[in-house]
Amino acid sequence: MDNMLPANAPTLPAAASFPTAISASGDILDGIEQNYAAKDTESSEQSMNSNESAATRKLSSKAPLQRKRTMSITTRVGLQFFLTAVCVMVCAFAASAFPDSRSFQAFMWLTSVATCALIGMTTMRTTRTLQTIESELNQAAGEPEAWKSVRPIIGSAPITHSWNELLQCVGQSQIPIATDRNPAELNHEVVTLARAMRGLPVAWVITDRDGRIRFISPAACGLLALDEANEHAGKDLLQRLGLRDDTDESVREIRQRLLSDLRMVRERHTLKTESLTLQLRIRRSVLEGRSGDGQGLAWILTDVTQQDLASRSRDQFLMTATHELRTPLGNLQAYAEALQLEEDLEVEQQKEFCNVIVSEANRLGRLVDQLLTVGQMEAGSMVAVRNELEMLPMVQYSWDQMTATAEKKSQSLLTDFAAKLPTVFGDREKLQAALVNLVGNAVKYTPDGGEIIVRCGHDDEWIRVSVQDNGPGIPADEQSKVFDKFYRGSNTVDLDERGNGLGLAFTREVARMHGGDIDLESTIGEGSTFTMRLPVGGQSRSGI
Amino acid sequence: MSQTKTVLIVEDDPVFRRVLSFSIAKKGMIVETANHGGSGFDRLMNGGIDFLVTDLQMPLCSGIELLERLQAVKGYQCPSTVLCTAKGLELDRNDLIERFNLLALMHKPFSPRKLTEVIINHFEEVAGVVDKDQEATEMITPTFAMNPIALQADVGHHG
Repeated sequence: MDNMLPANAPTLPAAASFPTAISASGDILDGIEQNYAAKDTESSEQSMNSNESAATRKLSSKAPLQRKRTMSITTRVGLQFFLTAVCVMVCAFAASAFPDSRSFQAFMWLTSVATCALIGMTTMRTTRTLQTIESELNQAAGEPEAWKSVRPIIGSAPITHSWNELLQCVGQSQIPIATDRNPAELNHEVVTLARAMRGLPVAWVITDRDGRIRFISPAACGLLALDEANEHAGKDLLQRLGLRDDTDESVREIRQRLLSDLRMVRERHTLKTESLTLQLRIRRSVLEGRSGDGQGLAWILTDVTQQDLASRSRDQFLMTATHELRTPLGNLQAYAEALQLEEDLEVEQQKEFCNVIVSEANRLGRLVDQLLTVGQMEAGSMVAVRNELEMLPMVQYSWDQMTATAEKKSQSLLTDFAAKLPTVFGDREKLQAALVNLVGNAVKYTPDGGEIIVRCGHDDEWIRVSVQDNGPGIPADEQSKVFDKFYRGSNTVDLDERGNGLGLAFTREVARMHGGDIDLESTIGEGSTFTMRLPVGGQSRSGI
Repeated sequence: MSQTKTVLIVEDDPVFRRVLSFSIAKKGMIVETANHGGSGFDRLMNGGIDFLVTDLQMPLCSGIELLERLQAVKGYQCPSTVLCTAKGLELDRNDLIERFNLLALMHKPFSPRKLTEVIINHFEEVAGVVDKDQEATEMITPTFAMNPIALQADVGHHG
């Protein structure tokens, strides 16, 4: 009884932290098990519970060390008996070797008896742990609730720890039973909630206060590129989120906030992995556990990369659109002002300025239309009429529209039409505008004296309208960009031609809306060919 | 004004360029034009420009790039500059004015009359200083008339 401990002392960790010292002194001396001197069993159990998470953690980390090289008690007892037998045999042999010396024989007898007594005592010590457990259990025998009064023991033998662990587990399972709810109902609730949690399409993670993962949802596994089948408990969530990087001041700040005691923290964080960059919104709240079992942090991670991209491209669109709108607006103001202020303007000049004002106003109107159309199309809210259309008259019309301009630039605008074309299901207005755009583009960007050929033909599946010019051509790296909104080719600058970079974007959207598409072939110095294809009979793939 | 001043307009929109040239030429100044920063830079390097009006957003070489290129030329004294832009509030106005020592930053749509007022006021101010200190003129227009360039047809017609 030299190892008395106060009732509420966290005995397990203390005992668990000195295992090597005791086992080093030999197996024979390990009988220092001690009953808790706990008069108040209830308080002892509470103390067990409050220390349980810490104790469990320590135990689980120390246990493998404990169990590494200890013989079982029965083996040890057997060995001790074997030792006794050997001793007695040696003594008997020694005694029979000297039959004449009575005193020596007497001494041998005495030695045998002393050895037996000594080993008997050590055997008792060896089995003392078992005896303590047995007496504890005997106390509780016969009464169903009496096992609650069974007390943990201290000592260095492995079974001591196992016994204490067993008691803890029993103590834990006692908690829900202590509530006034029906265990079956509770069980059902827990199972349903657990299933719901796993099934939620939300990336949630439950960690301890240091950010080490305890539970993780399948969605979070997906977000953090973790294999769902593997065990992730104990891994560092912050490491996974790239928040353990101390070199970056802002990262350190975010981490400190996330691991602070604040009940709710919201952060935005950019997670860079090898393959991609994610914009994450992190919301974490503190979990308050009852009697320490559920303490930790609950995290919800939301991937807002797409939202970010969308809002950025909307901002970009708005910015470019306002820029494009301000330009004709500025011209309108400037020319109107010039007319207003200058008194000695010649009639010719007045006319010229008025013409500019009219054309700028038209341009502004067209721009607004195109902006709306392209915007609507991208948003998928465009309403298209679907009629059966003859393509030839429409292509012819686009050609007619441009002949005047082409003549002014001394270009030859040639046609090569098939005699007959199948019909197309589509929206007349939009297709017509797209075709005029296509021919107009060629006339606009082909230098004076150039040659433009408008062709149309068909096969079983597609009607193709192509416009070929012998202009400067479009560099390979720009060929995919010319269909982007507001993109203007780099070699259009010196031509002094105006444009807003929406025409081809519009044309392509129209073609795609009708289930077709537009292709570009171009060689620098030789010219470009834009080919729009539309499905024969209007077998639309976009649902219009 | 004692001497006819030359103003260079760098602007990609031909319609706006036309009305700016018209308004400035009306006030008795010589106007030259360029359609992007690159050609504007070449013209400035030839000398003889007293005032620069440049658009901000142009293909190939923007107004900012033009000003940066000019700053990078050692020993070059950039003429007083007005930057025009159709960009709105997203620009850091004060930063731009300080960085390039701009006379003004004008947001489209703006009145060409305001622009000509700014230019004329500036020349008058400079002329006032010049009366006191003749050397200053030499510094501001060191290569004036070194490279006389024919007026643009339309400017000549109305000027």
